[in-house]
Amino acid sequence: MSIKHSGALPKYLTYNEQQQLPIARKAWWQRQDYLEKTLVDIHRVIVENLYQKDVCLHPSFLQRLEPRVKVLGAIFLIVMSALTRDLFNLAVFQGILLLVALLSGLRLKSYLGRVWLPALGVSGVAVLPAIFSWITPGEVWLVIYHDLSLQIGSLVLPKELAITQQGLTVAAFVLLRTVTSLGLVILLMATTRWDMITKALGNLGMPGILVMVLDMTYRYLFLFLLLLGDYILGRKSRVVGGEQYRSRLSWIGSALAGFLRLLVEYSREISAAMIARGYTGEIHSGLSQSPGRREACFFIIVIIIGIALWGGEWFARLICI
Amino acid sequence: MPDLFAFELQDVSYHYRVGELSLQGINLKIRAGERVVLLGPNGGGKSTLQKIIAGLIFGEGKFTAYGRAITAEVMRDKDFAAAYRRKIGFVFQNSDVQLFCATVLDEIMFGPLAMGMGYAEARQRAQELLDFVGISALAERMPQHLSGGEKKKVAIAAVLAVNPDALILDEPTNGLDPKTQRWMITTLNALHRSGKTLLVATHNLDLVPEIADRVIVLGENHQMIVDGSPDRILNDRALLLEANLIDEYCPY
Repeated sequence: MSIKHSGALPKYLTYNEQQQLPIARKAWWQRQDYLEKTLVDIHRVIVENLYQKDVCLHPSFLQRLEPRVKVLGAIFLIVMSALTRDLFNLAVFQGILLLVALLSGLRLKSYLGRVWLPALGVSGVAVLPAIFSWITPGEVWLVIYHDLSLQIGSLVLPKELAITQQGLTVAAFVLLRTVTSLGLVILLMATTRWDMITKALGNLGMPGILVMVLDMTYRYLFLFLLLLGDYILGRKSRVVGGEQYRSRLSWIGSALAGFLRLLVEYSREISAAMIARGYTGEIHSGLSQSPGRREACFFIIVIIIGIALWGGEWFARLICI
Repeated sequence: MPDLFAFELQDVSYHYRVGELSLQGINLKIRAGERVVLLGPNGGGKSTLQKIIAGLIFGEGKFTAYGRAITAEVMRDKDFAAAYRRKIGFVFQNSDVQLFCATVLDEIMFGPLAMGMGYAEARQRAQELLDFVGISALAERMPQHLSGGEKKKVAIAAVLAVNPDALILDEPTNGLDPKTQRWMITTLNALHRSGKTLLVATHNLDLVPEIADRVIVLGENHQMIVDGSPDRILNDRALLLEANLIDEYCPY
């Protein structure tokens, strides 16, 4: 298509409006805009990733170990924590995980936040009703009300509500098992580069195509996060007047559509680039590090801790003998 | 206001986290109506500096624009933020991120309508801009179906639609064909003659003598290495090598 420019600037562009900027009003409290919030979240993810990169490269306890041993150890301990019937052992194990986190250079606040907040927010909330006598009958630990007739519409509530010891035990088991699994996964991910984890999974038998998908997902997730940040800034830079809720919604719709379109375009380009570089569907990945004496010692300790976790009192008796 | 500084930065720094600076200790004054080019290597902090000046991100230190301190707090006032965005136009390197309307025409009319202009006047302004940038035939097309050069023209037209006093452009000639690059240079100079302040980040040294009164070079250490005339900087081969703007085989 031939493009013709009119050449001369439109008349309104030939002068500056020279309007003074108004004096900004101070707001004592203002709800954070959700687009702003998304920007802040993107920034947080990038910062956390940078922090994680530093932790991975720090020559501390877990970082020195071969990734396959760490992956196997984490899987083994997760299984053991699911099998255990001893609450005390699970609680003690939290202390061991915390100690390992500190020895591996993780910040205590960050570790606890990443483990306990999701555990309490998801498992904690889900298991909360189980502590009450209506769901888990048993020995009363705390009476909430007694001999009271309550009715909500046609629903007649039992005359007594209490927290039971059995309910608390069930809730504590679910919560501690969640915290254990999350703690182990976070320790593994925070002390091992992502590409090393995927290579280790590949070496341990995960199909190559899955390993590649995991690798690429991680890589492109960041690319798209950065792009999303620019999308939001791009819009922000053009908001020159009052905004209507409807216009924001329409922007979100078009931004999502734009993203999907970009995803398709990127996928095509990436696929073409992979084929151009000789990709035939086979993945070859290897780990330069091999397990040594240190890894053997670590794995023996992991097995002992795992059996202790599972074995409970039986293991304690065995040790005493 | 003959001596008004459009932008004043005093010891401005920006970091993603403690110890990871992307901009460090920038002291800079830009007069209204000046044409300034930012040069620097990849990751030197050019885009970060531009985003701070556009009031999109906020660093440490003091930043004043047209006599008003620009901080995260003042930009929370929606009226102030809207007035500021109207005064400062930002053309992103990736045009895709700033084009979000259904058609090219909607894209250009978005700004004027948002600032309260009537539909007929906004439509006329959009038509003038479409003619000016030479994309009248694309008015009803979807921006995502355009070529890179066409998208860049739409982005510029959309920003110019609100008649900003200052224009910030991030790598404006990247990926453009020679004809569109020439159009860009002519347009920027025409805007300069009409009194607009221009702040252009680029890697393209050939562009510098054509669009700059003044050149600021950011180094790989994220600091300002030098602030001077285009002649002085382009003739300082040692400086260009130090700033990683040329290699030893480059004719500059």
